[in-house]
Amino acid sequence: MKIAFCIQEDKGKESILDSRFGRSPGFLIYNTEEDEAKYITNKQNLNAAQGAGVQSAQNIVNEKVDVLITRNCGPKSFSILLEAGVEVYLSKDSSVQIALDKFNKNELTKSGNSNVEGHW
Amino acid sequence: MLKVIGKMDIAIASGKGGTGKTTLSVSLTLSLQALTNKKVRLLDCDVEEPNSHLFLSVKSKTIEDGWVESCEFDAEKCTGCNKCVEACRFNAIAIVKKKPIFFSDLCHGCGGCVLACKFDVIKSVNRKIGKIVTKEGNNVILRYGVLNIGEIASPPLIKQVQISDPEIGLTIIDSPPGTSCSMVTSVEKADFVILIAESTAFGLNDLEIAVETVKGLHKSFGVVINRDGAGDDRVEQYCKKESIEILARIPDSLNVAKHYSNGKIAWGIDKEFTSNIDGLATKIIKRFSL
Amino acid sequence: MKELLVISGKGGTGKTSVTASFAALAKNAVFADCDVDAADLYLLFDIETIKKEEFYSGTEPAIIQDKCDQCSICYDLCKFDAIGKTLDSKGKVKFEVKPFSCEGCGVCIDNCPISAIKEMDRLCGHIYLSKTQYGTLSHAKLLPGGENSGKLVSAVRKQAHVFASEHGAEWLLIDGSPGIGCPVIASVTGVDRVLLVTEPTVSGIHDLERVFQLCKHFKVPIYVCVNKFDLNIKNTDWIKNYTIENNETWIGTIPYDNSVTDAQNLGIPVVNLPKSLAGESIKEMWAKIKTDTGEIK
Repeated sequence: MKIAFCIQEDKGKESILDSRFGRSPGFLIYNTEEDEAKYITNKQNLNAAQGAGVQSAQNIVNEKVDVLITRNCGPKSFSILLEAGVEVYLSKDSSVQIALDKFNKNELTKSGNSNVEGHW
Repeated sequence: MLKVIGKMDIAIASGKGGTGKTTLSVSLTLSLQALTNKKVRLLDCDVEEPNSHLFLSVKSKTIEDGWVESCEFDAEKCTGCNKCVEACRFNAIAIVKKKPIFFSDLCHGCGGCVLACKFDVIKSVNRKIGKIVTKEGNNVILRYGVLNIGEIASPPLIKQVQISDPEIGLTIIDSPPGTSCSMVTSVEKADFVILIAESTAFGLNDLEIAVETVKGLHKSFGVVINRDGAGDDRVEQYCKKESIEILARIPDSLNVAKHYSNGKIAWGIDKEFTSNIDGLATKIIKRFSL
Repeated sequence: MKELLVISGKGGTGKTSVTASFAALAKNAVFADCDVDAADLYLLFDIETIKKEEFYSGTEPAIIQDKCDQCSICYDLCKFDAIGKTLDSKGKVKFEVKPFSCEGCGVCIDNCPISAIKEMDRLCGHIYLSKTQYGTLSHAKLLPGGENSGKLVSAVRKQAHVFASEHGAEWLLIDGSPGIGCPVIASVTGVDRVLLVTEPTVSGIHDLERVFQLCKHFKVPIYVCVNKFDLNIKNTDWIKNYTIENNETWIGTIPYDNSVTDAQNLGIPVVNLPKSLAGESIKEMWAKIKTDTGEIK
């Protein structure tokens, strides 16, 4: 299973989670079977004039991610992830490791809807 | 540049709102109509907050749909090649499981995706984003746009407000405040721009930015000082230094403000105000041989 | 932290004078001037800029003149009339990008058969963080004709938000942009309260409804105050009743008072001007807001 996290900079599982999804500086994609973490940059979206969430969701989908763990997710991003079958879990934790531990213990809530308005 | 509005188009603009732009646009329209005895058109291009119609009693009314060019996808034909996603700089398209997901509110109608698609999936369509209202009476035509709540693209609607009978000799364009894309779209086709400002700290700061913008658009322009006497002489000094013509000074008047609060333009009611506006109108008529 | 956004339907209703006065009255506050089209708040403070950053948004094309063979495809395809066609002194056709008209869609770049147009990041303005005598201010200046103020608004707000969170500020006061378009949406989302500063004019009444709709859409409670209320008592009463009927909070009135203009030209918040009637009214409003928002953390 592949799990994606929105992070500020790549420090493996110690990476700090970013509060945004669309304009998150990058994503850490953790492969549970191989216990490997891969970083993909989201830099082009930091400067996007608009629709950063759409492009970020597209990036996540293209990486064939199964689960996204994020602090926030807007309506457009959510609809794309839903269509692609990516499950969205909300976490207010500080680091990837803490959020991952909680996810493994089934302590994170699966989101059935976007939790923030667009233009956030 | 190709002229598309009328024969002589004068835009009224200001760096910020609340400087008397609508008051000036409406009263100048009425004054020019009275002095030339010809048909005058007023285009209210402030589609986010159109106000001119509140001050003009013109009767007959037609309503058109206001639209923006957008696109439509034939999902059956889509191969998921991703070319449209790459072409769209506005991130309005995503491809999931080889099918497009389109967010129309992000679309600017540039047609980039239509050009990029090799499989004839995408076609251009019009999407409704508001309405255009035209009213006419007493030799005055008023045309304004109303943008739907939640829509973000004013320029397409502004351009539609400006598509109007090209045979009209004189058009006044009430442009939206600020110096962003909506203001630029509104004044771009004008032959002359009148910038209106109050002589205050905010007024001068905003005027300077508006001047830079109209200079960047290579427009000839002049300044009208509103509420003259309420502030100091900083706008006067600035115009002198920059060699900008001051077209008129409209004195500060509680009477004019009270009329405005009741939805009345003081032109034709307040003697001093009327003579100031008529003076400006006469200057315009002479300058452009109307 | 409490986030209060001050807006007006139309411009020039005294929104910035009110925000600056609240700034002078609030303890432990951070300010954001999100009215980037008319960024005037800083004119009422003594400021010392501590950070200046370039703000880029989207991209813009540049035609490489040496490479261009005047095929005219970009000119024909552009939906925004953003490619200018001129003749030089020798009568040769020249195509140029008109930056104020360009929306950055990239159609010219992608469809140039000989790749004679390059794509560059578009500089739209600058973002500043400045110290003032009342607290830290996040503000911006748009380049003339600069676009995407919605995104710039978010960036200004974000900078203020981050600074306020890091420094444990009690208040984040935001001077919002006029209108109901993208910049306003970008400033309304996520605030705790909106204060609408309006005037007792038919325009003010006309705009009221649209602002209410917008705030309802984003589920933000509204405070309403009327500036220059004595211009038209009947309209002031109308606005007051409308506010109460819509279950929003009526917060007070400010009289027509030239001391607001005087303070502005002196470069100070009007509450700092002795014996200002407008200043006294604003002080009363601020006291009400402080009490009313007591519960928000």
